[in-house]
Amino acid sequence: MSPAENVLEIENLNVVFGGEDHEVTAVESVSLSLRAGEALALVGESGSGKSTVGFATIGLLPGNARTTGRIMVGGTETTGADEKAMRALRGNEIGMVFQEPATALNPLRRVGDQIAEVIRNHREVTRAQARAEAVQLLERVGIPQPQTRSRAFPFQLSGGQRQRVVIAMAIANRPRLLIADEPTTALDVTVQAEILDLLRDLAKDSGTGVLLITHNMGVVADFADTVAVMHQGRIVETGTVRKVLTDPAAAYTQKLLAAVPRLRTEASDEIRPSKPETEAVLSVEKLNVVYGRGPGAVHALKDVSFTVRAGQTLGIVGESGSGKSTAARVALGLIKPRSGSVELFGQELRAGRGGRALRAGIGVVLQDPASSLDPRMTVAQAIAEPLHIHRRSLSRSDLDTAVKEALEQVNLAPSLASRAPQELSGGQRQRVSLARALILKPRLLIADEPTSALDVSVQQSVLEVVAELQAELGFACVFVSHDLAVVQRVAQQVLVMRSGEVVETGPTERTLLYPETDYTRRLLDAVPVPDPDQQKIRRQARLTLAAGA
Amino acid sequence: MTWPSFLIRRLLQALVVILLITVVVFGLLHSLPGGPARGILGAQATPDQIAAFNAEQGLDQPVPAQYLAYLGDLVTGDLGESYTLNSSVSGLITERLPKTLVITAGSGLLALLVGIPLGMWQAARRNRLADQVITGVSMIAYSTPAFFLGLLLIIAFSLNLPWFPSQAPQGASAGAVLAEPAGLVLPILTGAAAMIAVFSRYMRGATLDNLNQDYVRTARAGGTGGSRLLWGHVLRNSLTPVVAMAGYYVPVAFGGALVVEQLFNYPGMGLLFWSAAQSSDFPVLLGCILVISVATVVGTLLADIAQALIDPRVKVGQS
Repeated sequence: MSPAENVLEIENLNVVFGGEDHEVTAVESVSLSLRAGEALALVGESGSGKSTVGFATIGLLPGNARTTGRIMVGGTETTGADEKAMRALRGNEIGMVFQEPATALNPLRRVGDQIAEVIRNHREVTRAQARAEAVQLLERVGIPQPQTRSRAFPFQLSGGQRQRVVIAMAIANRPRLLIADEPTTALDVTVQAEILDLLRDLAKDSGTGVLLITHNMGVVADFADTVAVMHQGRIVETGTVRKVLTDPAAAYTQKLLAAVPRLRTEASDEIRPSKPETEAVLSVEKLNVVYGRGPGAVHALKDVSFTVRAGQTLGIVGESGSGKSTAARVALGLIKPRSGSVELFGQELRAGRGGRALRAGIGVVLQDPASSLDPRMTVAQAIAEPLHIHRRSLSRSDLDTAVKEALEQVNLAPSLASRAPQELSGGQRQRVSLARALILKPRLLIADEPTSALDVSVQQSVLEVVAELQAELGFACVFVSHDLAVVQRVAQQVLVMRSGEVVETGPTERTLLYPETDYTRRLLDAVPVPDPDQQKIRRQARLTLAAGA
Repeated sequence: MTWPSFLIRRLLQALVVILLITVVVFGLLHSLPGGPARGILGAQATPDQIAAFNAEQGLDQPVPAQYLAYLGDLVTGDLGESYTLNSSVSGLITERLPKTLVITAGSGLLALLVGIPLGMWQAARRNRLADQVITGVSMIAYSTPAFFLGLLLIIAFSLNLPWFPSQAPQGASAGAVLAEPAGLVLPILTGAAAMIAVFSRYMRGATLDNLNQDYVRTARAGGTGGSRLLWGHVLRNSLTPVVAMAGYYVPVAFGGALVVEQLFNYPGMGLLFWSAAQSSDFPVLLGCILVISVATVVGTLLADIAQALIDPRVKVGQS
């Protein structure tokens, strides 16, 4: 096969999901081609149909899907192929990597055996040979001590390592086509950068074509040669990565790119007026949180101190497991620290009634809008719930007015009040969470990854609402996020955490542009920016730094 | 956690539970109407006779001392004397328990061996005709009282078709009973029917759950499919909830034995319990309760160990 040959050719693909009484068209007239050794990024927001294209290609759509059109993988037509024929292709000609490494592996089988199974599905080798090959594959995907680790169960590996195992399974039989469906979305930025490096090397070595499905424009800039932008089941724009990301033709692409929060790497010209020092709303001093006892104890927070002032936002950043959510929860009084003090509105936060009254001054927004609203409560009931608890004397009509005002504040139509949360979109739900958090007119808002489950355009509108309301109401905000670009945008102060400790803290403008520690620098360097040329330079710099370290 | 420390920890937990059970059973024994003296000496006994009996049996001692004495007796296998059967309670139980175990263990084993594959088979064919027919039969089996189902089985397979005897083997020991396997078929089937229905329903649900898991999609993306997917990936993951439930079915199986033994005239623990209850033979009743409670604890212990064997995360408490 010549390197220029297409490993994937999709012509006029349509996918329709049939429900009980209605049909949903997920993919409409999609045509794509991907050459060996190249990477094609399929980008779009949730519901755009990008994953459906991937699953149609590998023949893993749910049973109620109907497909028309033509999909050719390495010259073999997969549309209309029966299950047996598809089984011969899957894991052999086509490999696939999934979004969620935590659940992608069978929890009860050793990882080496799971890789060996894929090998034995397609090649006549003995169990021992397949196992030996699995160890080599683990080494190839960068798992240390591959021999020992091949005997590990998935729960004994980190998220990044599990994703490496899934990649090892996907490349075990040197497929012509590798489909990577949001392969780094569930991972920390530093791990994301490593996984993308790995995929790039593997594809280069074997001439595999990669179909990368993602919503992250930074990842696209880092990885792809060509880009196809999907919107509502259709491709709205196709082109080289440079063309699409720097000079998009379609209006939708322009809008999408404008909504992407960009990590600024240079100081902006505008000088933000330094705000007068306002009163401290929350200040925590030398917090320690320890889970468990004895040698197995986990130090979740070590001597963590910070202060949040009225009208200001403190961003807490760090990788997963760094303790950033724990810090927020201690401030909420949900976790009792082993030592240290939490001062809320000038008073010591203690358990019991006094603590409860103090907590009435805190609003909370959590990451997942789907699970943080009770599905059996209407929007109005959910928003009014804090009032029922903390303002019992309110009359029925006062409640209704309060709910109506709260909905207006977050730019939601009052007619949504009687809806159930599952009837709303993700962004609407998160705005309902915000309305609920703000209904008691809190002096402090704690937001734990409030936009990480949302699409960028939705994220933008939610962040705008928060900023407007903060300017209007003057509450202090603790904003926990793994997304440095978002934090750079919303926070005046930033706290960088690692393994339960504060690595550095300071004004966002200074700390995220001129970091003082290697850890912060590594975090910043790992963030992919949505500009292919700039990202190439950043990647080189990061790799050089890593090689030197 | 390593296997030895896991096992030691679970065994200690089980021992604590058993100790608590002895406290409850002792409390019940102690609160018998009129006390054990009245039970043994009869309603006509004079207060003097009762006082003498109490002194002789140590029943005038303080309660904690009595409990310790009771515990000491338990350890040596002394569960007291039956009021009515002129035999020691432990003697009665050692005679009857193995025979009941033949029925209950037989039913339980049959239910697992049939229910688990049946549930998986149904899940693989969900909502097709075979699945729906089996679901219907399961519902009937589950909702039919055991005594009625047993009667139907006797009418069908003993009277109309003379395949199996309508009476269970009458041998005095478990070995003698096992020598007549034909006689065990109907009692074991009667005991197993409802459990088969429950286990297969659970297994069907767990399998369907697992078929929708991400790891199944990953395995399929690697070219695994058909029976290898079902037996190699889904079976083990689906077993955990079923195994946990099997542990809780130990007391249910003993309860079922009560009916089965009555129906097939099989002198095991169930009949012993039944006749003791009718004649207010409290030492025997409480001895039976103690044995069944301990069997329940052992059942859940075995289920826990089986779960740890299936799922390595159980041992480290990370499941």
